Order: sequence, then C-alpha cells, then structure tokens
Amino acid sequence: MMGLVERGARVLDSAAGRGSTDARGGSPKEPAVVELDDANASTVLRWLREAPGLAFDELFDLTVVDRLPARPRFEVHYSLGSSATGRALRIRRPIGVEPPEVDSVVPLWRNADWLEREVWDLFGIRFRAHPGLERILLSSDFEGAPLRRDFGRAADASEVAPS
Amino acid sequence: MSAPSEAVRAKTLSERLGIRPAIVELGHAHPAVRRVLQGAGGTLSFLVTLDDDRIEALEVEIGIGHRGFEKEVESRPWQEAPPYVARLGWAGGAIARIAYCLAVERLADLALPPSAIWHRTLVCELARVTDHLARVAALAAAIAASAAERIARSAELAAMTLLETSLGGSPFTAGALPGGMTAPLPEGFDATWQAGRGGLERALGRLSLLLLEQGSAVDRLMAVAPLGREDALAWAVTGPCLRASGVARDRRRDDPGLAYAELDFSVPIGTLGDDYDRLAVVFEEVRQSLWLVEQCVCRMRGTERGAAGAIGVGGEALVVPAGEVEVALESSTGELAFHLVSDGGPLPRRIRCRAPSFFHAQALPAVLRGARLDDLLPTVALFHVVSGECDR
Repeated sequence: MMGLVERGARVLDSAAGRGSTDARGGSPKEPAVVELDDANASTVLRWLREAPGLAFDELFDLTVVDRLPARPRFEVHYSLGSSATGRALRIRRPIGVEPPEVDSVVPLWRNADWLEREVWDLFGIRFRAHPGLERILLSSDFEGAPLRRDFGRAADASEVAPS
Repeated sequence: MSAPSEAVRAKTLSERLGIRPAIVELGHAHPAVRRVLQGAGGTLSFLVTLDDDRIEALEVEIGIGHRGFEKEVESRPWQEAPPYVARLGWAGGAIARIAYCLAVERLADLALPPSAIWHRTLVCELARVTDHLARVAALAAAIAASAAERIARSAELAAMTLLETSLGGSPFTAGALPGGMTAPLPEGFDATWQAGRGGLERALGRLSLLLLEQGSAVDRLMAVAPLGREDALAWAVTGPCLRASGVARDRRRDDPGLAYAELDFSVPIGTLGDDYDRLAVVFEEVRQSLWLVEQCVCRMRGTERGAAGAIGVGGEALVVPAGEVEVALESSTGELAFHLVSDGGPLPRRIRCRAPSFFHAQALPAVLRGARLDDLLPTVALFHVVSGECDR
C-alpha cells in the first residue's frame, strides 16, 4: 500500500503542473499557488502538515471565494506557512459537491476553528467533523449567508438570467 | 507528611469545598471592560468559569459590532474602499489602508512614486507608536496604574496628532489611495516632528520606569498568562505578542515592503511570552518606531515632495485586471493581510481581510487558562484585540 507521503507527493506533483511552480512552497512574498482536487485535498493537506521536509505548521489564513456563475462555484483557500523552512504556500480547493461541504482542518491546525466558523457563518459552507460549527459574527437567528455573491441581489435585474 | 493523592489534587478547589464553580459574565458594557477596551472599540464579551479566582474556562464573544465590512467593500469600485478599510482600527487603520492599497497596486500593476513610499513608511511607524501607546494605556488602566495611564493617554494623543498632521487629516479621511496618498507630506512636518519627538521619548522613559521597574506593576505582569513559542505559532498569533513568545518574526525585516529594506531597526523578542515580556516588547518597538520615523523624516528632507499620485481623487475609475494577490503588512496589531480577487469587472470579486485581532481573540482562552480573574483584562489589553478587526 502506498504511504501517505508518496500518495500526497504524487497528487501535489500533478497539481503543481496546473497551478504553479514549486510544490515545496515559495517565499512569503511570492507564495506558490497549488490547486487541489476536492477528493484528494484532505490527504494532501495532512501530508503538507506532517511530512518532515515540508512541515507547514502554520495556517495563516483560510477563506472562500465565490465564483458564481462558474462551476464549481466555491473555492476554499488555505494560506500555509512553515516555521521550520520559512516557506509559504497557497492552496486553492474548489468544492465539488452541492450543498457545499468539505472536511474540517481543525485536527491539523487548531486555529482553523474560528476561521471555519466564519466561513460557515458568511458563506454557508459546512465543515465535516468541526468541533462546534456555529455562527460567529452574525446572530444565531440570522437567515442566509451574506458573503455569497447572490445574497440580497434578488431585486437586481442584472443578476436575473435571461429566459 | 505525605503528599495528597492524585485523586485529591486533581479536584478543583470548588469541588473539594463542595461548591459549584462560579460563572461570571464580563460583558462589553461592564465598566471595567469598557474602560480597558475603549481604545480598541470595546465590544468583546467574556464568559468566565472560575475555580476560586482561577480561570477554568473562558469563552470570548465577538461579533457584537459586526458590520459586513467585506460585503460592503466588495459591492463598490476598488478605489472607494480605503475609508472603510481605515475603520478596521483607530491609528492602526492607517496601516490597514496602506496594506489594502499595496495589494490593489500589485494586482493592477500600478507604480508608486518614491515620495509616497517614504510617506507611507513614516505613516506606518507613527501609527504603530500611537497604537502601541494606546495598548500601554489600556494595560495601565487594567492594573489601576493611574499615573501611567494618564501619561500613556496623553502621549497617545500627542502621537495621534503627529500622525494626523503627517496625513493631513484623520486616518478615516486621509491616507493611502491606490497609486499614492490623498496628500503629500505637508511642508514643515520636519519641524513639527522635531518639536514632538522629545516629549514622546520622555513619556516612554517615565512609562517604562512606572510599569517595567516598579514592584507593584511588575508583580501584576511577571509570569502572568505565559504563551509558549509552539502554542503562539499554532494559534497563528503574530506581531509583538508572537515576538514576546520568543519568535523573531517581523514582516518589516523578513519580507520588506515599502522602504524598510533601506532602514535600520532591530526586532526585540521575549523569552517567556508572559505579560511582562509582551509589555517590554511593545516598549522597545515604540522606541524602534520613533527611530524609524526619524530616519524617514531625514530621508524625505529636501527631496521633491511631488504629487500625491493617487488614483480616484478626481473620480476616475480604477481598472483591475483579472487575477489574485495576497499582501501582508506588519501592522501594530500583528500581521494584517488583504487577499484580493479580481475577474476584471468593475467591482471586486473578493476582498478578504486577514485581521490579526481575530486570531488573538481566538487564542485568549488558551493563554488565560489557569490565570487569575484579575489577569484577564491586563492580558486582553496587551493582546490589543481591536474589535473593528475582529468583527469586520
């Protein structure tokens, strides 16, 4: 059976060709950008965190971009850093399922807790196995996900598709 | 005499005495909280579970002042965001405004005139001095060091006045715009700075005597709420609080933007990451920032002040080609980044602000577990959790 490291390396190598330059990460100023398949992303993220030569131990940021009307619509962005090597890496992870949900990365980076709650709160994207996925900035009785591109735009004629 | 068995020691004091742990809510309207957080916008609430006077568990409530910042700026042309961005903080908002403009400029490939680069560097350092002094004032208020609080507040005001003079207005109305500044550094700022600098240095000297050397203050800070290097990194703590935990990381030195590569300064670090180290690092950073402002003023002396260079002043629309970028700056609160995505249209696709205070608020329960209730507000003051950044 192929080990985690080999499997991750293979996925990342094939991904690096698509997105960007060096899968081991760029400088903080010019981080390498890598796009991952949703299906492989959890494995690769764990590998990036744990493989000794990479050791991306810092989750600098986590956010989402809504590409409406493109499909897949949502991309999760992870901004990683390594205190050991000083390298930085940006991961782009398009979400292939509807309604959108991905695995939580709280087991890998504990500060993902509030970041994922904020994404849930404002984009309505669910994180599987998150320890307490509740709204964080909006009140619990708020309806909708306001950072979605189509939030509050129903009355905007330019957003209505011609029939 | 034998030591108490594990089972007995494992119990909390409340359990041994047979009383229920006290749960205390310190809301943002509580006079003590409000007084300490007034320089930071003051809308944090705390739910504290106490064992005697020790913090067993802490919940930090943010979001009370949420205003939909990212939605707001995503719904407008690129050049209209800076005044909103400035409201992420008080003085620190001037730095956020610069970070946003640097990101837009990188995405749109806009050149910045050298005078604007020096002007922005100077503004960053004056804003850091102002914001750090607000942090010291909040700490002094939290430990009831009233003389120090008074000195820090008036020094903060003096620094804010210098910052506003350098900008030609408050950070909300003046400062960075894509391509430049709203106005060049005013004529005669050199003299204003030379007149004000001595007073700030004297205030700093008196404050460090009162807070870092006087026993009653030192007792309130030493060994309180220590945060180790590993934990600081795991919670993505940045800025002075990360450096207090012994991590020598500073974007100004490691990833120099603006004019920092040409400037001389040192990066102070602590060892224990306790409240004392955090305060000591802040003091040294103010000293370094005053020295940096002095260097900027000298470099700008006699040079062509030039036009402000900003786009959007006359109402012209800014076209940003499709692409995305993330730019981080060493702000007074920590590492503040803007992640911008453009699809080439008239409006932004995405404007994400990575605000350090959000990360610091999340780290507070881990930092304060086991500390005394009395240590809560001084520690919150030293982390300088700005609610404008948390709630966005």
